[in-house]
Amino acid sequence: MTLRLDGSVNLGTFTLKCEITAGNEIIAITGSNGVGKTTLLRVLAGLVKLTTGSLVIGDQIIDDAATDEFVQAHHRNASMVFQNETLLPFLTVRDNIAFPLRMFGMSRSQSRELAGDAISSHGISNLANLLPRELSGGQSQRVALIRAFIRQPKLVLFDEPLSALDEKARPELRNFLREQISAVTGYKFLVTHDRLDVEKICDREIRLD
Amino acid sequence: MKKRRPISRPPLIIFVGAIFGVIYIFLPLVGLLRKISFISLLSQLSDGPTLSALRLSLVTSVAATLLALILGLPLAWVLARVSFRGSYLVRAFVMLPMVLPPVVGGVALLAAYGKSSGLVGALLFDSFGVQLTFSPIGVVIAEAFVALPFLVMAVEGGLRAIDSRYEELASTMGANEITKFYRVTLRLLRPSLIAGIAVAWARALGEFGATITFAGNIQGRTQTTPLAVYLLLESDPQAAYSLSFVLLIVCVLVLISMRDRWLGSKR
Repeated sequence: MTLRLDGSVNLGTFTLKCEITAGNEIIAITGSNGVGKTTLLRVLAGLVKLTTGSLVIGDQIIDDAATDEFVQAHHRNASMVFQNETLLPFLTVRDNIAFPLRMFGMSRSQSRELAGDAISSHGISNLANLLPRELSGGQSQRVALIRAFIRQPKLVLFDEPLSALDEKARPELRNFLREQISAVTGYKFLVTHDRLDVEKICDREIRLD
Repeated sequence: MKKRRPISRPPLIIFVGAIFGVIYIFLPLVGLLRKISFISLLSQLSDGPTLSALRLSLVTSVAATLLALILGLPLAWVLARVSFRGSYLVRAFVMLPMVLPPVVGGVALLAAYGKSSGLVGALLFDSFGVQLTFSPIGVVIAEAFVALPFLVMAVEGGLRAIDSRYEELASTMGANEITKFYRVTLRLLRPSLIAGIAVAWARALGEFGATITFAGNIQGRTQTTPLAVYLLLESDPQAAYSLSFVLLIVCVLVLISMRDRWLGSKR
């Protein structure tokens, strides 16, 4: 199965045009600021519609500007992580991790239980009942990553998930990220500025310009 | 955070003005408190007409707030989230009752919902025998009319302040539009919603001009607490003071409940 994106997005004065083919691999998206790396992820997630062209996964049309076919974001089974503030601020760590499970149709108690299991298997049981604002930057990114992988995503869309962390926290979380992302079967995109991320995590690099 | 010390002191006249400003607000309240006889407060409030005015005020103001919420939430949503030509005109119209003299609001309501010649009121009465004027429902309509803009303003501001990334995240995590609204947007909106409800309710509770014009002043039916206060001032001033005191306390409580927002005690 492959993912094929060939099209453009027009947002006011900004235009992103790209052609990407991806398989089951981890792709680094690099390029200078403002080139549209985040927009590319938003297109893949279904948060922005293509202005021209199409996005096809396997033989399923996900987004086609010509025919107006469009699979909405909540049907794409994507996992996004941003640089920061990826967690819902009003939910505890446990409920944040349970959220995608709940949306997937799991019962409240079952989703909380599974989230609890994930939390303890990652050794952060002490954080389970804290709110995001009570976490350090490294802790909240770790929780965001745990949540991103709690249900097997088909699309992994990470937007500089490590760049807000200090030098001390980064290597450990990078290992964690690599472990988790490698276990996923699907299309995996990692926007990054960090050469180490590209080298240590990714299979291939796509440079936007 | 430490406050930075101002480099130069403001001129004395500023302080004098500020102090007079505080006194100007404070003095009437002190005067009111002095008039209250706390011993007879309860017996005055449980007096038949007074009690029925309080009860009517409570019921109608809550109903009016609900009505304002039902109409105001979608309205605020559209104003905050949908861009269309002339949106500023719509906003100006919605905000109009805020600056309009309430009695003019009442007259306008009569022109719309009046039984004999109102724009839709005549139709309602002729077809269904429904009369909105001079009824408790009329009170609710008048109160909601003046309260609506306060709710819309607070909620619209709240909606604009929400970081849309959280809603987008919720969609990528599988939340459909309705789930996203209930579980993320409304939750993020909660402080503004509470503030909007509180201030709209306080405004509805204190409504006088539009109510007396549109719904009249029928004891036990449309005579709300502010109307009762006004009448009692002639017949039983002591009771008028007691009722005013109740309204004052309620408003102070509303203000306290919103201290984070308006009094800036935190952050």
